[in-house]
Amino acid sequence: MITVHDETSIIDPERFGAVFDDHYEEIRRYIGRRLDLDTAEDLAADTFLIAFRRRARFDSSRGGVRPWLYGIATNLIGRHRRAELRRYRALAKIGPPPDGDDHDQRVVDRIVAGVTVGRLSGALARLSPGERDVVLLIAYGGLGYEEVAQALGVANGTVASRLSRARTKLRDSLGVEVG
Amino acid sequence: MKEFRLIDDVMPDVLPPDPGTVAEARARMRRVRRGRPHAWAGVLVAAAATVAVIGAVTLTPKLGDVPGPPRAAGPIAGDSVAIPLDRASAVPGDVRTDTEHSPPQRLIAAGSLAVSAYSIQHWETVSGDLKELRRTWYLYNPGTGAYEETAWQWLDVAPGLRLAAVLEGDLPSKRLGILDMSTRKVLTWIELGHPAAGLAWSPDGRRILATSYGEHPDRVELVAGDENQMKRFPSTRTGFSIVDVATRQTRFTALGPLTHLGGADGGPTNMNARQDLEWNLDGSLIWGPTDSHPDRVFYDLHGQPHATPPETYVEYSKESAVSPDGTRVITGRPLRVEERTSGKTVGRPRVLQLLAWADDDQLIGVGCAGECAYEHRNGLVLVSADGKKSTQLSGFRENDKVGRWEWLLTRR
Repeated sequence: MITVHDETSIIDPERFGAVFDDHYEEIRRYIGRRLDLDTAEDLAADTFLIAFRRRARFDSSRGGVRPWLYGIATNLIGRHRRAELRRYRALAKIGPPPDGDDHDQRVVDRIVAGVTVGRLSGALARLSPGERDVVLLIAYGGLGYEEVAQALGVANGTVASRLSRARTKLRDSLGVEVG
Repeated sequence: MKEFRLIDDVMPDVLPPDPGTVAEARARMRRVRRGRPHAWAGVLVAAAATVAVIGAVTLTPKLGDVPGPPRAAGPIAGDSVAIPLDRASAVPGDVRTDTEHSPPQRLIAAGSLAVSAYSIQHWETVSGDLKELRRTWYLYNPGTGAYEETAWQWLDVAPGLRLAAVLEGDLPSKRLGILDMSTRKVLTWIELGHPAAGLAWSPDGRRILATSYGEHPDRVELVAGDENQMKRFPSTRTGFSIVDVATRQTRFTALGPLTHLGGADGGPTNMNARQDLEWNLDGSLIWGPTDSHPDRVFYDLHGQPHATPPETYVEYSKESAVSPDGTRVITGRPLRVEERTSGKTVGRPRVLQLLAWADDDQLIGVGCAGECAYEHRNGLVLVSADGKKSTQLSGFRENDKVGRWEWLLTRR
């Protein structure tokens, strides 16, 4: 008998569709903000295919479904590291949005802070891959530190030290605290 | 305040996916989980175009005959039964639809393919928390042109739609019957030394591959009586028998299952209990399904691992991805048809899945109802390779649940 705990919905192929329904869009969005959308759609599909194939090895005692899926997606993104950097470099050439383009208060705030897509992209490109994974899992995925550690399969202390280095680099690049 | 909110706010966001993208991603997952490919192996595609009577083989429905090679049939008389090998009914351009009924009542066919049968699954309680997924098979009757209910728990239809192989009683079963689809009578029984639960006719219609199991392969146990929690059993596949239909000669070969951990070398995995073996495209090898990459592993007819032959399959299916004339191929994401030599895109048919080539220019696929608001409301469609023409073949199934009808495609 295959041992199952409370992750039956993951083990059961008939019920795995619910995992897809609940998380496909956020995983696609996470990848799509790091890579081009065509690649993101491919990788999002791959994420769930891999998750489906590995579902027997999913261990709920080591974290929830979300960190597990984000971890698979992040690994896949890692195979496209150069494409991700190319994207940041391309975005870095974009100037600030023209005045009056958007009156959303957040946009106003960020312009006041001088943080534009271009400058932020340049700053993200200067992080190490491990630092970038931690920062973007928090920024885009909304994961907590422990979930980030589960997703990346690293110790909590590793997450903390990567975060600390990333904060310093981002502050040096942008001149403001971003996290 | 959320950490790194500034990054979330500033960096470009993506638009929500369109329903087609979501459906395709989901369909890829569904293809992996399918226990049994639906479509028939396509080696006869070249022969299908010629519409020639290849020949016939006789078999006598008595046990204990001296085994001998298949022989060409003369006039059929007495208790001899022909194994029809002709594809006379595969008239080019002949398309049969039944869009009014779901499941279908009248024959569905296009080009060289037909829905030879369909099955409907249900859960049956064996004892206590033990349940089995059982199927009711509705088999095409060439005499009436309709699909008719049968009592067999497993069957497969021979190319040509005249004969079916059936398993007697509960699975796994020790008796294999050859059924005349018109008279609905079993022409002969073949004893299997090792009980089987899966069947596959060879592409030439002369042999049957029966996959043997120690236990019913579609069995689960409820956890504490909860219908929503099912424990699955590891596969009990023991091996396979190859049955020469004309001589009824049967040879069993032991071949254990793949597991969810993969092999000793960490190779392909399969955590499904049902791991039915299938013929390769030319019937010279067999393969077993995986739930990983590659999507199948090949063996010779003695069960020894064999190198992957140069054949291109539709993913997780027994169908050839290559058109009968060899010029085009079904390929991956986004789903499309390509010229094999140039790699140029021929078309992107708007379907959830492409199942098989019906002829050189048309394919049978799974199409959504309407604008695909709900991908599981789907049915069979015939699409042109360039994606410009689409003909609905069947009515739409309503959902993805146990109890919907599942087609079996066979070369006619």
